[in-house]
Amino acid sequence: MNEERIRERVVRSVDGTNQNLQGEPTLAEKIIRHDVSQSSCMARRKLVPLLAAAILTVVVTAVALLSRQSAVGRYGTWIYENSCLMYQGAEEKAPRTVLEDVTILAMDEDLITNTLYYISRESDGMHLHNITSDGFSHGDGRMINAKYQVLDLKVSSPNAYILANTSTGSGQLYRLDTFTDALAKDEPLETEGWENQGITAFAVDANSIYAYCAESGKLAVLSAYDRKLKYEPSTIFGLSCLEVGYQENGMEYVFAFSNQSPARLLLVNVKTGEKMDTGETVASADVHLDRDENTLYLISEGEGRMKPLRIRSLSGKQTLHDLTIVNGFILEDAYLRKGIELFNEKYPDVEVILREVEDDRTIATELMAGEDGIDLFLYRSIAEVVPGAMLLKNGAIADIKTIPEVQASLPAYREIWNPVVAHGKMYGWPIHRFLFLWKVNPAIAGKIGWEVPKDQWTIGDFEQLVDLAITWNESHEEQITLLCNETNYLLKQYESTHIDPYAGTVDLMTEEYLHLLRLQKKMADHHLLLPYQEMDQSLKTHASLLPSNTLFRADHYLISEEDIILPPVPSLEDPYPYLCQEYDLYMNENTPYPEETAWMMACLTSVEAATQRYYENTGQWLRDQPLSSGTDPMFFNEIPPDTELKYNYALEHLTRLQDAQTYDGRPYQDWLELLDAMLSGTVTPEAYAGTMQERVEMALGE
Amino acid sequence: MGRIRSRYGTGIAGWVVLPGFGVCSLLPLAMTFGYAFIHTAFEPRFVGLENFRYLALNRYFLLGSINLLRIGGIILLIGMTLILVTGFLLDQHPRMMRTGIAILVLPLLIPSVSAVTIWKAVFRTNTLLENSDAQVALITLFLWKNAGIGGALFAVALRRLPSELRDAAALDGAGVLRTFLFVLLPNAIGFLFLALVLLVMFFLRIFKESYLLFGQYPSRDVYLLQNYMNNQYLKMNFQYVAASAILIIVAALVIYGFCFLVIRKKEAK
Repeated sequence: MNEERIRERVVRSVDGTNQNLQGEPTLAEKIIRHDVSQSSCMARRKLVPLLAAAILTVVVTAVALLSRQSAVGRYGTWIYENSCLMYQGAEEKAPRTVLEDVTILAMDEDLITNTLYYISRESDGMHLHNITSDGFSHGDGRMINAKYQVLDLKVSSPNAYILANTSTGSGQLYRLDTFTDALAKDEPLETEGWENQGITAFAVDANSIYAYCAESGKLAVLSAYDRKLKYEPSTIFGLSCLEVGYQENGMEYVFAFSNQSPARLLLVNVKTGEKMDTGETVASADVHLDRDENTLYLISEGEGRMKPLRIRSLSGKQTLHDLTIVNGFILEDAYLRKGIELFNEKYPDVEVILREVEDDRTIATELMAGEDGIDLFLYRSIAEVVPGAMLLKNGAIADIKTIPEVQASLPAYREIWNPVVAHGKMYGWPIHRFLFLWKVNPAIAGKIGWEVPKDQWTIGDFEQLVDLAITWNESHEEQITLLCNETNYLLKQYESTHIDPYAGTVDLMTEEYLHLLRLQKKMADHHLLLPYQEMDQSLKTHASLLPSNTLFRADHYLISEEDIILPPVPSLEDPYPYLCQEYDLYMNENTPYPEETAWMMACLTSVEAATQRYYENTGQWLRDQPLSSGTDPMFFNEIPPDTELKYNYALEHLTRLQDAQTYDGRPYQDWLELLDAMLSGTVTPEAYAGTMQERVEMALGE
Repeated sequence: MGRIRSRYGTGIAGWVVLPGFGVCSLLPLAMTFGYAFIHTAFEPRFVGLENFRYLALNRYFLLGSINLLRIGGIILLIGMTLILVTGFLLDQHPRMMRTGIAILVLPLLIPSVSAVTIWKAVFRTNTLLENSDAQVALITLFLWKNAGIGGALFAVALRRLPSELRDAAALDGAGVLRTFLFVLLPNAIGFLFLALVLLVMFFLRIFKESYLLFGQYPSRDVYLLQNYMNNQYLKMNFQYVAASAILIIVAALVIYGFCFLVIRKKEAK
């Protein structure tokens, strides 16, 4: 309460008795003093919690701001906040949690593998981990030497670069291997003519490392391959915060902020040191730069805002329109870049945009609605909502054989087209093939006296092996299992070659199919099958592992796998008996830019682009020219020559997996129950075949 | 003056609503009509009644339509019976009214996906197996979820009827059942009709429950027109989806027209 008002009120209330005698305070004064002191006490008491709350709020906000980090990925943004790592895809409405209870010191997404690398502080020290937006990690991460006081992290796989203070100096750049925990291999970047000290900002891409020292004003560019200076460092004072720009006419450009207030976004020619003002300014000091393929982001962690700027516009280029590749993340980076480079030679004013769409139903809906934004798209047979052949039939996708350049490039490749050909029309370009092959256990084969086939073998041969295994199990205490994981491989093989989504036909009521069902039952009766559901957890996720008593494992295998054989085939004359799942590139038949889209498809199918691809993942697709000699950072293994031969042979004799069970979107458990009923004898093979025939007919005949 | 202002206000309100109605309802309807007469969404050339001919000859469209009528008939019959019975019972036990209504309405608030787990445990919902309880599972799940609201609505309607009606019937010596059938029911018939409309509306959205129970392709006995339309949409055959929708609209108009005629005839009498 206001002191004056209290005084006035008290004086008024004790009027007449308020005499000042012998210097004693008057009654009114006594009352006033007491009241006022009480009042100010109460006010102070009220202020304390308010002040405490305010301080707490400031502290919490400060901690939150300090702990918040963002990293832009190719198809979304990573956000680290409140000990939580989240990811928000470009077309997702809200971020989703990927990791909880983690202390991240620095993070960066590798735009080549779309994997986030982060340095976390744990009880036993610092670690470098990696994680994809699905929460999948390659390996267990590696330790980071405690000597580093990490300031920043940038990744361009297989290398990570950290800016750190150490006992030997401050602001030093180190190169670390992203996968192996080999502390000795950490390499301080040292090269003649440049001092690795006092670095205040840096940026990396697949080819270059850009480092800037504010004190000396030196901007250096090192080659990512040999860590040598590419050019004499240029001297430019007053820069902060670097980000990779672009290359043009032999010149390299980076983005940086000027040290003015407000800061200006500059384009800097790293070779000449020339600065160009982009016209963008930022008021806040906490803004930093990050980029994806086409866009530069000005990120304010404090405000939690990102301002996107098209790099093409910043570079002063005109854009006629975009050409969008949906889910192009599956394409290898070097391959995609080569394709875009070839494309831009003919269409320099068209910008190729990459877009990620998680749900194929979105693609289907947008295609039907005739929306822009889907010119080429990757379709995953594993997740497809409708088979590619049906899309072709409905006029949603184009027959790419009609593109003369695509037609011309076909002879350079092996005959790998069958999974994307329907009734003479080629509706997609193969990007990945996930081959179903069999891994064999040579020790078991030797034990039971079975000679592992070197080439093709038939289901008839396999039946003899079944009898051999049964005889072995009857006469030996040690029991063997014949096939594990995808134990219905032979059924799937038959179904895949007898379902035709384009013609709408299915043919499962045949003696051949019934024979396979009976063979399956015979194997189940004699405990020769170990289905995926019954395998140990440790075996489930590692295709390389076989249970010790099992002869075969049917699974997806890379070309680098050992002890691989071709699965048995119904007949040696069958042209396409081997199964695969696939990623294919489809072309929107109704794209608003048919000429450009066809040319982009032609560029990606060109031999020049194909040679940029990794051999390990895909096999040797080109007849004469080798694929990229580079190594896919995800896979290091040597390629066994024996597997290589079989793998490349299978590539030319593939059929698309389209088994009856997955075909009609039925709950997997339902089909398993039916299969179990058939294997246990409560449902006859005839009834099983009849049911599957009816259901697939329904899916095809609607 | 006030009346003029009121009319003016109503007019303004009507003009405000009209564009919204046009954009949100009439335009999609017109587009659906358009799609029903073209070859495909990707090749939009006029094909006349070709899509309708395709549907008329397609055995799965016919199967879905027949199942829709058959299962719909069963559901409406059992559903309306349940509504009458629950309404009657709650009316006879007014103290139970609040609890009863809460119990009846509760299933509507429970997400279908949660209920499906229980239904899958209780019924054999695997439609690949011969001994499947697919029909029973679908019908009971639907009734459990949607019939309650109708019962609650009807019970409230009965309670709101003037007590003089019951008293007069009692004085005339009518028993509980007679009072219900010949006094209360005719007076609450409007609410019963509303419950029926609600049930039909819910039934046309039965696809969610069916999909959760059986997946994209149920067995022949529970394959509904909704399954057919959804699958055709996923196959990008939007022309068939549109043509099916037009047929449903026509069927609905015929039914509504028939009801309208019957009501008018009754009113004329």
